[in-house]
Amino acid sequence: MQFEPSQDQALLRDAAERFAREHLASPQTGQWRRFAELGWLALPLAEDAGGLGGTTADVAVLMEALGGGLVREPYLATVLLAGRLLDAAGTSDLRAQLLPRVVNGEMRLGFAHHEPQMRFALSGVQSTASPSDSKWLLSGRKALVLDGGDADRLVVSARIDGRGPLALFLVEPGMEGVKVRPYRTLDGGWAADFEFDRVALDAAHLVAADDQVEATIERVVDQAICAICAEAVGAMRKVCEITRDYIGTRRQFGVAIGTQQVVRHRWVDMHIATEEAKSITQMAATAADGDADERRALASAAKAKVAEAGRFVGEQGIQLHGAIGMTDDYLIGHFYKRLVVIGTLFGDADYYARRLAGAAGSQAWRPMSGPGRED
Amino acid sequence: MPAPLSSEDLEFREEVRTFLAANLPAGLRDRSFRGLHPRRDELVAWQKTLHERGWLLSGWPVEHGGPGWSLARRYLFNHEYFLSGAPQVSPFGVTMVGPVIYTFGTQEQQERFLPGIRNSDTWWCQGYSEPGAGSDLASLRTRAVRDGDHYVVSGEKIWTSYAQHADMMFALVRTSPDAKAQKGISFLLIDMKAPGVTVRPIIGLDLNHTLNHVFLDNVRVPVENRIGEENAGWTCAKFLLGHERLTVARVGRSKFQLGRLKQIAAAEQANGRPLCDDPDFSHRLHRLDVDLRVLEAMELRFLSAQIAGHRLTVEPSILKIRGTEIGQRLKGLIVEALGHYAIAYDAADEPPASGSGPMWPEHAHGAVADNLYHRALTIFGGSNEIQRNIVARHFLG
Repeated sequence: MQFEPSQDQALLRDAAERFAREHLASPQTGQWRRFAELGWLALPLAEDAGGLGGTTADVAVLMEALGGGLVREPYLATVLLAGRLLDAAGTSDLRAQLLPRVVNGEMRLGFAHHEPQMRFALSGVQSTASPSDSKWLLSGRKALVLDGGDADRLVVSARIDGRGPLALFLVEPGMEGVKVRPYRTLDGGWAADFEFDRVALDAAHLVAADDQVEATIERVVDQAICAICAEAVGAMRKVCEITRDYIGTRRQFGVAIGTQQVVRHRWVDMHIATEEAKSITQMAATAADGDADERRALASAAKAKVAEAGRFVGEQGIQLHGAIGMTDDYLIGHFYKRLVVIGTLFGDADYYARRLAGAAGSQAWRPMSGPGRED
Repeated sequence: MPAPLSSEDLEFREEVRTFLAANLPAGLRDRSFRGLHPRRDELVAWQKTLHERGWLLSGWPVEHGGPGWSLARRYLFNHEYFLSGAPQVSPFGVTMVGPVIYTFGTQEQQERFLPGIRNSDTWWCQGYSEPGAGSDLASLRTRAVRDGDHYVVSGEKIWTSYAQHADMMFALVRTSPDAKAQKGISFLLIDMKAPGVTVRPIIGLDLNHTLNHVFLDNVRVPVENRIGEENAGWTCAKFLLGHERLTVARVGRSKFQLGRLKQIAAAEQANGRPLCDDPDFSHRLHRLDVDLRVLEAMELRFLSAQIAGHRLTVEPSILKIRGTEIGQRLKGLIVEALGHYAIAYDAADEPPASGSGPMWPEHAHGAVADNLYHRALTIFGGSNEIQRNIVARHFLG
């Protein structure tokens, strides 16, 4: 297992860190074109669809760098969720039609799967696609669809006839029967809730409807979780860096507050939490494309750790800044909010600790591959 | 209460409950429930209602308009008050500058300023912190230079809550730059409409405007607005810090919100059953319940000591530390109960118009804003690190 970046990963990291530094200094929206030019939209998609065939570990390198810059583009929604689902499960027609347009930046996607009664579980979809002549009529509710309001197409999960296998459909937000309610998220982004009322879909809208859909969703989501954990690690590192600078310069009682032992130890605890989060995230990202049991266990451990550690680092980053940390003007609060959002996305620490227990079953941990082994 | 309540105390408690149930507007109670700040007009109206009953100035001596309650009765009142969901009254007049004025002010100053505090017609703010003087307040630099029968005041105050509404500001200013820190500070009452006063909003993490940056540019303040002797302002400041710490642990407010959390956990679903039946969540809820009961017991024990005549030293610091930590945990747990909807954020005061915004349950509105705003609990009012220093110094030297 390799923790050190490959040459390609190092190049990717450097380019992304440069981008992130510029963005932090002068935040801009509308960077999607640059994402396309830099090949980032193609990165995790299959080569036969115009992608670069990159691994989850590659994506993690990119996301960690972007996390340090508070970069806010709909990469998770369009590429890592809906894009990769289409890639993994879609018909060859749909793949050929849509993925090149995702790669070149023309098309934005959303993944509409969660419903309020599901809480964080991936199972429990109640939205229904009722067969009607040669169509399906889609009805149901979807919540917290990231960047859903801006999506050109939605990948929507629904049960065939309410009790059959889970299926994925492609829906255009402008279709009759689709109601969209966009709103802001805590970290300054956007999400939307959807109501579908007998939306008429035909064969051209069917992405997949077989017994593999649920497993594919689970895999794609686990891989996306590794990616946002990496983003969180980048944010945590930046919080530690900003805080270190602040406590070194802020003076009270005649000394820099960073000379006080309580402050120093608190910062060290932030640093340790970041090191832990980085370690488990990297291990999870490397395992995410392989054996399903190992992927599940490690992604769960990473998400549980990042949810808790990210909140701690963000909160203490604010606390060590004092009152200035509570203002919208100052960066630290923005990192805190993004860390809290990532901590909640797809499930909190409790949920993933429980999932880890389920994944490992009653057995002890499987021995991990040692460093230096080629796996 | 440690000892059984006397029948008079029981009657009093019933009287308070009845009054609050009959008079607290539902809108104000709902805002407390959600952790939203009360609107200014509604708060002023409520304060007037309380004052009409004689209960606004709950800690004031009788000769200045207070109800003359014992410590025990004041405790009872505060407990029932916050448990009912009544909002904290604007503290700057009633619990801060008012007591300073009747303790250190001249007869003339009392006659001039106390009526506006009593009838809530004067809105006060606190000019203490500066960009360079937070925890180290004594290092403040706002300068007040004597010029005939005025002081000319120049400097900056920051983190001034609600200065945008304020009529008056009580401020600590430096009247003697040569004296050592605390010994050169005076306590001045500054008219916010005076020429040279500029208020600049500071937007918080919750995207709301509560805090401000106040710039003072050669503001002329009459000498009659100085409370106490020149260069003796720190005495007023210390008095204020040590005064009125009865509710610093926020027990009543936290109990009220814990009730809300239990309602939310019963309404939210996880794995096909109410969230309150989820073992992980209920475990944390129960541990919080324990800690809150412990906090209440500790507050009562310290109160008993006070009633018995012991002088409190570090107890307010201990209560502040634990009260704020528990308050933050509670607000965090309320947000966690929302599941994915913890990610949606509505900065607006009112829930969005029907048919727009997230399709979230009605109980969600306000929770995330409340949690965000109260990250400041461990920072303001003397940070918890400073509070621990106070306790440490007392016992460890």
